[in-house]
Amino acid sequence: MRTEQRTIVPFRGASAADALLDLIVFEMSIDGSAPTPAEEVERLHSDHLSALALTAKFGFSEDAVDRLAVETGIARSNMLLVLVATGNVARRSSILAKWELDKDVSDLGAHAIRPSSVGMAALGDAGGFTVTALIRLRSGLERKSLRAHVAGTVLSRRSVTFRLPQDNPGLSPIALTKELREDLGIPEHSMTFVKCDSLLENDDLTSRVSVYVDETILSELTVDTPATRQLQASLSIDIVIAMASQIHRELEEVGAVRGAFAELAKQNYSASSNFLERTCKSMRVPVDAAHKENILDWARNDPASLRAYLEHGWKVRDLTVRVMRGGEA
Amino acid sequence: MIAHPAVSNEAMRTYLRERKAGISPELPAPSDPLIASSKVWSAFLAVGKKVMIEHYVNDVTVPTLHGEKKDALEIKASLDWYAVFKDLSSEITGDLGFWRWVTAYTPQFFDFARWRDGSLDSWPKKEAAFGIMRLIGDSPECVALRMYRRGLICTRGSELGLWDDPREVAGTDLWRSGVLRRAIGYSPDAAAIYVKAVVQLSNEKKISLTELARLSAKRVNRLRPLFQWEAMTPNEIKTLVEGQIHTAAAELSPR
Repeated sequence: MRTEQRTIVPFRGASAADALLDLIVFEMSIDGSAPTPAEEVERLHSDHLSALALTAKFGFSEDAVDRLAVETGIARSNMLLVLVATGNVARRSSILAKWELDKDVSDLGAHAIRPSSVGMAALGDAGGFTVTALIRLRSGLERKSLRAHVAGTVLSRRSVTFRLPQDNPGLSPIALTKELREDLGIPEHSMTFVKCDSLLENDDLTSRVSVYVDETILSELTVDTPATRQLQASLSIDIVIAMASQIHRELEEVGAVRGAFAELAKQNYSASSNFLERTCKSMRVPVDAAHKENILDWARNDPASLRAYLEHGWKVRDLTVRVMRGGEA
Repeated sequence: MIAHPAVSNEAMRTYLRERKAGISPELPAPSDPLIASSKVWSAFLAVGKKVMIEHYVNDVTVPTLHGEKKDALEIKASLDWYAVFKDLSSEITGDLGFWRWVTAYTPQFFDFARWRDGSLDSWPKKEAAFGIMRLIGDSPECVALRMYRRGLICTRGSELGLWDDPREVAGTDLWRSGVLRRAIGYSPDAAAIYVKAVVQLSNEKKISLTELARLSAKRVNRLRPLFQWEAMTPNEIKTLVEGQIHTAAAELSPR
């Protein structure tokens, strides 16, 4: 059985609703800095969390709302604009504000959101949070083809997600935007990218590794499904290969020879040595010099073998089977 | 913003491995020892400890519980557990480092987490039970955070008048595959209404809770693109969720 993952919106006027929400500009400012429009996914340092100010500027026109009413066949008085916030880890959520669309929408103006002052709400979740603006049907209507009729149906939604780095490896990928792709020199349709700075002399290896994921895909990664788990597993494998290959290169540069890599790492570079130990465990092989040596060798000369062992260790096959059979958790 | 104590992933991992090896290790050093040892935070640990003594340690029959009975104990304890932390901002409760600190520094809770996801003499399969993360998706496995989230949902369920005792809606699989890992878990109202409806229908129609939970989770999750639970009223949620669960039940019992 195959499950259709794409959303087919079973009513008219969805594009008019999208067009209306596209008029919203989410502006962010940190500690009073000049406000800039927020991207769909923004990366935020946790120190800046309490200094973040977010403003939703609506910029709605009467015309745009009227067009929405005509195209959906739903009266303006039966539509609500709702602003909700959800936190990624604690998963608390709250309604920040609610407006009726039959009022003069130019009065909406701007709505200021100061995450740190919302307090108990979802905003400011240390694992990142999302602010969503949506238009929903206020009360149920008689069933009519191609018209939304169930109370609560979302006609359109638009969101901005703030991601915060956590101290766990692979947890905070950076959104791959057009500009970033240009900076990194990778092509337009690339999906993921891993970059390692020098590792050997560092104690905190994960801070030296940058993981990039296409911004749209990244915004989906906050929800836990077999498909997102599979992508994460695959990314983790790429990260291990990139790191092992970098360590190999640097060990060579400091004069180590094949067969003595693992021993040298153990003596002089504890973080790299710990990484190799963890990788042995990930691969479910004994933690010994021979296997560590293999990891380093494979990363440079035979990454396919390293990948195969990591797929085994992290059960990527099982995840993939679940994705293919319909993607239910 | 008040600074809060946290334990790093690595420190917790080392601590857990030493515990497993039977070495009696030093507790993992908090990122900021000064904050962690302050009066305010020590008070939190003291209250958390009291909750675990009441629900776990004092009950001599506890170690013999298995399966869903373990879950019934967890869900009952989660109400009081949530009450301890409910006034903290999500800057704190959304930080797994904080939950690692709570887990390590409340021995009664550490023992409980071990017993809950493992047993008295075996360790949980996943290090994530102690808040050690490898993937984003591991966070629902952290026992301390999971109980906080379940407590929040169960408190809301009581406020909505859905149950007198949350043990009515215990069920490891019901919660894991239907709520904690799903978008519906973002809305305490919707999550509470969902678990209540699944349990009630499973009892009425004498259908296996696990089977009904699996099918219902799928059906309800499919509504995600069209609805945002957080922006709906309890009555709206009820109509929609109960409809899906009834359909799921009908699929399971054709008569």
